[in-house]
Amino acid sequence: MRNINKNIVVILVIAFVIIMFLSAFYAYNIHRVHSTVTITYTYTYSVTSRLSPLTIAISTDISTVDIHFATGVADFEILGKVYESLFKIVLDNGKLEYVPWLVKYYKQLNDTTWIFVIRDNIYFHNGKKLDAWDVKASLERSMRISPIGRMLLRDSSGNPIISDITVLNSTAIVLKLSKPFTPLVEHLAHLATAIMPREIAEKYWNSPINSTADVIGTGPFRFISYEKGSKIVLARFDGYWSKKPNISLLTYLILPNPSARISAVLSGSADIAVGISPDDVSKLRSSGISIYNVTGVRLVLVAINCKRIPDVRIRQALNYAIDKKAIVKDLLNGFAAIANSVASPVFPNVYTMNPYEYNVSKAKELLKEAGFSNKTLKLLVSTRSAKDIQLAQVIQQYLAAIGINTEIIQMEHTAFLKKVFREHDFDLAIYGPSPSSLYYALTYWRTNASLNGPQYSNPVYDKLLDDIASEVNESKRALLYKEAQEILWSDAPAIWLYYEDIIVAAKPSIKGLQILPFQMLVLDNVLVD
Amino acid sequence: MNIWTKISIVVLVVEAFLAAFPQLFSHYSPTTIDLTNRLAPPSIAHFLGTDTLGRDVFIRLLYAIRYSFTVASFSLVLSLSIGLLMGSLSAIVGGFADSMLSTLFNILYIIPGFFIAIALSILIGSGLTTTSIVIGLSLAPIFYRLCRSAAKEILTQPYIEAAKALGASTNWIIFRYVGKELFYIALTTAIFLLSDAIAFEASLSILGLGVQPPTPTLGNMIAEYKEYVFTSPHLLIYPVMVIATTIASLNTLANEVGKKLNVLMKNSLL
Amino acid sequence: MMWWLIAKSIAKTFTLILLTTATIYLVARAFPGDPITVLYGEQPISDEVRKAVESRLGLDKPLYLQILIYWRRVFTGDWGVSTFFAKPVFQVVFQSFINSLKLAVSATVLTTLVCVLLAYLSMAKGFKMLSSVFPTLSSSMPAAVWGVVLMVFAAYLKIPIGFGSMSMPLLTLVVAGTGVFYRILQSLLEKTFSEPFVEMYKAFGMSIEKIFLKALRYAMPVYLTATFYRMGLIIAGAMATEVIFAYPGMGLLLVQAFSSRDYPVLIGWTTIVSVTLSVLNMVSDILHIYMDPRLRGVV
Repeated sequence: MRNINKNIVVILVIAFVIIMFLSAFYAYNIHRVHSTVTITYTYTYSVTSRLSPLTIAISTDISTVDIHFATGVADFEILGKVYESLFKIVLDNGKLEYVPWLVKYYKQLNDTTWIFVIRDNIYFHNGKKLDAWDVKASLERSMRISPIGRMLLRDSSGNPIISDITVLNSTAIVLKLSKPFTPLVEHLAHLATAIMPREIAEKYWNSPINSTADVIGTGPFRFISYEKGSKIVLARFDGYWSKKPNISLLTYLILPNPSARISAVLSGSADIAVGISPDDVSKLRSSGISIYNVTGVRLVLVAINCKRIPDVRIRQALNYAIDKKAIVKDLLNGFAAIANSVASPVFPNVYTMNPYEYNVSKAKELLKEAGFSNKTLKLLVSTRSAKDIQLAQVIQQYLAAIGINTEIIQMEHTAFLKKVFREHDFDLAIYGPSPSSLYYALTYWRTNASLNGPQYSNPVYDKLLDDIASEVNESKRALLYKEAQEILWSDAPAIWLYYEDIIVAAKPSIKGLQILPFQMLVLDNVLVD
Repeated sequence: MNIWTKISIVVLVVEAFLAAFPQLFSHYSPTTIDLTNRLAPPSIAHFLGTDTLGRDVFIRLLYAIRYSFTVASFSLVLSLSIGLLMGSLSAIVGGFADSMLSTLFNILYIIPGFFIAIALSILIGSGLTTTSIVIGLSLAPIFYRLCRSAAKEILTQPYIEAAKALGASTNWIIFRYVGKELFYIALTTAIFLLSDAIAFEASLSILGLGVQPPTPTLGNMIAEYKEYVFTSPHLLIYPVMVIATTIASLNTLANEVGKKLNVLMKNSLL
Repeated sequence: MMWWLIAKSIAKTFTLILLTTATIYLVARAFPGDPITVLYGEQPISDEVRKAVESRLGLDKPLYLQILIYWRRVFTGDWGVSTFFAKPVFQVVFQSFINSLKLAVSATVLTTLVCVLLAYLSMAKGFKMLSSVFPTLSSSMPAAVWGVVLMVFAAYLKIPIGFGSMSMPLLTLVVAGTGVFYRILQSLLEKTFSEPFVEMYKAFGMSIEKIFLKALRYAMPVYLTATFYRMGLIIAGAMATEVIFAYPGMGLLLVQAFSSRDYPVLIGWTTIVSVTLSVLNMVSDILHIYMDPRLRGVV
């Protein structure tokens, strides 16, 4: 044994390495064959003018392939190209509108009955024609297990608003509501109520879709492949019922690193990059990259735990202590709009309030009145956004100027969500809700609402929200909206800061790009030169 | 002692001095924010310019050196103590306890440091203490293995038998013979690992798992400034150069000290 | 005798894997944040749906039972479905493993080539200065920092970085790893050069290049055992590099699985990593047993 030629051992070792290497490739190839999915399409490809591929660099991965469970920006951006809802949100002259989309026309028969007639020419990606049964199944599924769907379609006590969906024929359905609900159309424009084939909704009646083969929608793009953490590929759906995009292959590259996204667009690996920081804009412009920006609906705020700080004066003092003008101008280089309302002005019925002007002495006075001194507050911030972390340090300094000591605690995003929204274990927390409608924005602050991090509770406010939902007279409703916003503003359950701009960089050859304030790219009219 | 070693020593001494008395060199505080003067280029008022929130970069760099060294030292002390204690205990006691401890440290060895970092940062938050613990735990198995095998070897030496025969108690043996030898072996390794500890802290902070802002460390300054590499590239260069120089100097010094200690040990002067 | 040792090795490795898996599962379970929150993000869910999802994910059974159930499933090949993505765990983890394997092997091979070249230049051709600069430079910064530096260089030179491809992580690992591997190779070669057979060859008038090649062949086995183990560490740990360049390997997978509390993936990850490292450990131990007699013997 001892005389074994060392050469043999060396050869064995090298052979082992090579075999490992080769077997890895071999096994990998076998694996690929087994996971191929075949979907046959029976469309004839019509001759189209100039289709080009498009690559977009985004900052986060999708969290699910099930549109009803979509929560993050990436989920809606990508799955929002594959699925569609009954109604659609469009931006018209700086205001948002909710237009019928899969629905051809609709009518409200009485306070609690609506009839929707669906278009006759819509096909799913698997070739099946869209009918009323698909709509019924999708809506029921969304109401049952979609977290956002449940929030949108239930009232303050958690009872479903839609009591019954009846199919009249293959293109018409009747929705019976348990009580009048005026925001119905707005809420049915949210992608959490998107329409999927009935068979798939029933297959996944109790749990999220977990197979890419079942990602079937009616949208302009179909889902091709998904490499976790790396990239997602969509392809043009040639059987799309509306205007087909000019893009043949749509690739989303997941690059969490902001400078990675910038490098990608500078070097040409990506055509478009989202999530650009205001500090990088001038450099990008000087390198010949086009910058698109739109004021978003994300209201960045510092939530104040109302159970721990019940005195309104203290919360108002905190609002007076922050110089929002300076933050928008210097920290964000002007790429934001100071928040003088509780929701973005792009929504209809949003009213501008009396601003909390920067006033250190007034803040100190209020604190003195309330007897609040020598306290240390814990400020929680999620590590997801670098700007939020910078903001935290700035807030810390402003609060120090009025005599409040702040301790910054950074938390990984999922842990942050749990700490703030489930355990309510914080004094101050920085986050930014992104609602899809004014009503939705106001429901965040309902007593015991799931997104009510600060646990703000005002029964008068809650009643107002219910009244708004049932008030059919438009002008009366507008007044109620105003009252609710005024109460929320002066009760100050948060330091209202600013609406962040959405900044997107694109190669100059990209034309026709639009951005929705929800951080969604509208690619309908994009042309690559 | 060749020229490189001399340079390394000078570099490290200067850094130690800067780290110990940063306020001698600048009147700024490392955490004062000045939004109107963000990302300013170097000037007379600010030697290295200002950073993303208007803080003076020079003073931050000095404090960063201090905190990076602090974390590295604490973690080394931690891992050395754990490893030395557990390792020698394992070797001396042997049997079941030995197997259990070995398995425990093997697990710790296999689990990548980043996993421990993520886990601990979620459990007890990030910060100077947590990072020290993370690095300490990651390096402990190295000391454990080292001390255990060295201790085992020492225990088989004839002079141990002789001491036992002469009536020395087990504890006395441990302290007198095993402890001293182990200490020098461990010390050599520790000096090598100091640069690794600093590198590890930098890697953790780059991923956002180490010390958090506003406390400056070399790692998290790199993490913060790499995002600004297009607008203000000079910011990134400072911490990178400091880290590179520090680690290179520590490595050179460690090599020299290691050689010297080896020679001394071989000649039984220790 | 030899076979008995090998059997013991295998048994120890097996136990280690079981224990490591259980440890990580327990540790991960003890944390705030859970997969339910991740699935539902900032929204709440009612208790009935929560229970339904929990039982589907197997989270409502007692702890020890969960571990036992899991161990059984591992050995029957059912690693569950990732709670976070649309794919079975085994597929997800295996894919990342293959990617990391490709990276690790390529990095090791390339680094070795670079080191051999440097050693050749240093020992056979006398470029001592040159070949001490590179390794020192390389080990002056950890891989994470090199990743940042290289990314910055590439961006400035407008070189398209193939994010997701192997090129940048490979480059980073080679640059960062040269320092470490070179030291191993160098000390080995120096020890070899002091062996009697080298003197013998010199006396025979063999050229320095040929001697170098012979010494290299002699030192290779030990070098390979050392690098073998390191290769395993690259698979698990080139985390920073993978994250920076978005390369879909084991490191990136761990970060993602952890932030989304994807327990099935976490456990699958640990299993493969423990198996790999333990096997590599075992193999290098066995190889050491082979090596030893020969190092003391005469070539």
